[in-house]
Amino acid sequence: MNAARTKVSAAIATTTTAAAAAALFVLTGCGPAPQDPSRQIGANPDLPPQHQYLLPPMHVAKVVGWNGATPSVAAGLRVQAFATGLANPRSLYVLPNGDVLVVGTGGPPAPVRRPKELVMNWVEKMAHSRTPPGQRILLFRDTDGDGVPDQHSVFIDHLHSPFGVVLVGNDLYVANTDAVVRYPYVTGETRITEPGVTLCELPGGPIDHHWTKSLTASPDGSMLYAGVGSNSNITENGIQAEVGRASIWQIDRATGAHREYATGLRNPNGLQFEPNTHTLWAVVNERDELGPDLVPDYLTQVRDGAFYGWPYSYYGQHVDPRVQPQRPDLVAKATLPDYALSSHVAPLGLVFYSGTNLPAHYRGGAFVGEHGSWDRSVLNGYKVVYIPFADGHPSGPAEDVVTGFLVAGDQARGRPVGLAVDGNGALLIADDTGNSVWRVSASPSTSGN
Amino acid sequence: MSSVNPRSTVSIAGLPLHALLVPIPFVCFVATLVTDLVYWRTAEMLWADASAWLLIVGLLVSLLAVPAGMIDFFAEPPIRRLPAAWIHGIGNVTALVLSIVNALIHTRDAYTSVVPAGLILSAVVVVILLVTGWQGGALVYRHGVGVRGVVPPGVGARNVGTTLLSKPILGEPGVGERSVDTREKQQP
Repeated sequence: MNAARTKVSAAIATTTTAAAAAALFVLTGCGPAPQDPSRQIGANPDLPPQHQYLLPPMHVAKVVGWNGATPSVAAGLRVQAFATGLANPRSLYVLPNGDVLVVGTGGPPAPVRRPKELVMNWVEKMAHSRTPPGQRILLFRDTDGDGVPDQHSVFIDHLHSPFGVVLVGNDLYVANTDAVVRYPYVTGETRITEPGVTLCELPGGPIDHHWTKSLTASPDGSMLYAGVGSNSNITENGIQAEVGRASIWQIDRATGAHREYATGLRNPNGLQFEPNTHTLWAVVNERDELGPDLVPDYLTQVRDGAFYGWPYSYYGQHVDPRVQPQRPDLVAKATLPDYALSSHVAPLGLVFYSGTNLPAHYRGGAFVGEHGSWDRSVLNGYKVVYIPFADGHPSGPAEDVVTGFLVAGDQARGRPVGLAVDGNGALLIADDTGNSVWRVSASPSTSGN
Repeated sequence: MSSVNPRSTVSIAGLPLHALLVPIPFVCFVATLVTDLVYWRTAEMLWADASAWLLIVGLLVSLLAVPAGMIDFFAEPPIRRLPAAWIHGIGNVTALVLSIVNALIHTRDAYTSVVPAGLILSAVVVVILLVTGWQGGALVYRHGVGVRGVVPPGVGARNVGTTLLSKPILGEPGVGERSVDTREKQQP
């Protein structure tokens, strides 16, 4: 009897083990090894075959904070803390008088449509600052000219997941996640208490997946441009949720009327006009879960009327099988982006450098703030890079300028987001996870060249 | 000469836990095939989301139902002597493993969370469940597994599969018709 029982148990155990082993093999056998990101920098990124996972690849950097440390900068530069102890500073704007606006903000609560999102929301929480985000804009002023502010105030409070800010004349525009709102601004004022006037509503909730609405104005000030990110990774919230999204809106400043200026841009941020050619540029977060090296995020000129692929395809005509029904007609006309930044770096900040403080090497090109990957076994991004430009186009490989956001391989002291150039020509970096703003200027030995 | 019905080891107030719970994952996994099919034909994400929830609920209840069934199986030699118990157990464990993989496939985004791999796995699981469900029914309704009471002579494990066939159309009641309830009433 005992022998029979043992035999039976062994048989069952073997069956279960075999099944479990098969399952484990399928699970752990998932995912090609990440390649060197440098193969995906520039105009012609190497695009490996698609890989669809069984287990969504999640690898977020554990947040450890700065604890007095500072980022590392390239030779000839120095870095200072511009502001610390903030609440999720994500974007920056420098007013003409040199006052610096710091937008402290967080996204609206994410609805749970699938069991997966319970896990994803939790993981996302792990990757961000513990500080509850503010919903306001702070103003910082440097009165003694040492580059570091000595006054600050709450500039505008009680906003709704704000991100983009732009000033045209005396009209200050704030892009909340659901509307572009106009406030009257008088040079030198440190607090605006007047209620804003809605110029144009933007796609917001109830689902508001990519909620950061980047904002800039045309050089003549007649038009505003707002980045409206997609409402999903790849249409998994339904194509109905994508109306007006994954696009850059052109908003008539006089009437508030809008049209979609360019589409197929999954999550466009850092909208900026290139100062020499007056063309609109953006950094775009491309889609996830096709492998560690798909799809590279990019920097691109945004052409009027162009379609950049999302969701149907990427980098031109590379079709995404996850989208149904497919649209070969749109895929056929998809525009190639200009400059790949490599995969999952999550670029959220862009600024063209036309100042004179930084060494000559950095003039005329673009700085990009890379928030960093969460779905790649080897982390990518978590730094600020510089891309040289010539004749209004990228002209060389991206260089690391500000690093040290990661420590011990996979712990995050901070994560760079929005960028700006201050009144003295120094580069400002919003660090939402480190709750700081960093200021990068020429090191004393190289300044004044 | 009478014998006792095979006992359910994991029972609450005499009700076998496995038999109480196992219909929930069965229904969930069958419904997953339905919602997968509707998604396949409509590409309407609502249905794929429904599949993902059905799979999770089915798996969570399986976390209780499967161990309860396994303990019943290993703790009671008369159950292990029933071929139906083997088919039911191995089949259900296979369906469970496939459903775990299926739930992971359903975490993908949009179309490929269902088509083709998810849909195929959902269909394979339902085919397995048709067999294991039938065998599970046989364990209870033919072999009296977990049914409280005494099996009279000529009924039970030795009469595998004869209940339906032996049901009389006319005349004397067949052995299979003598349910436990009837017996209990007759006993006093």
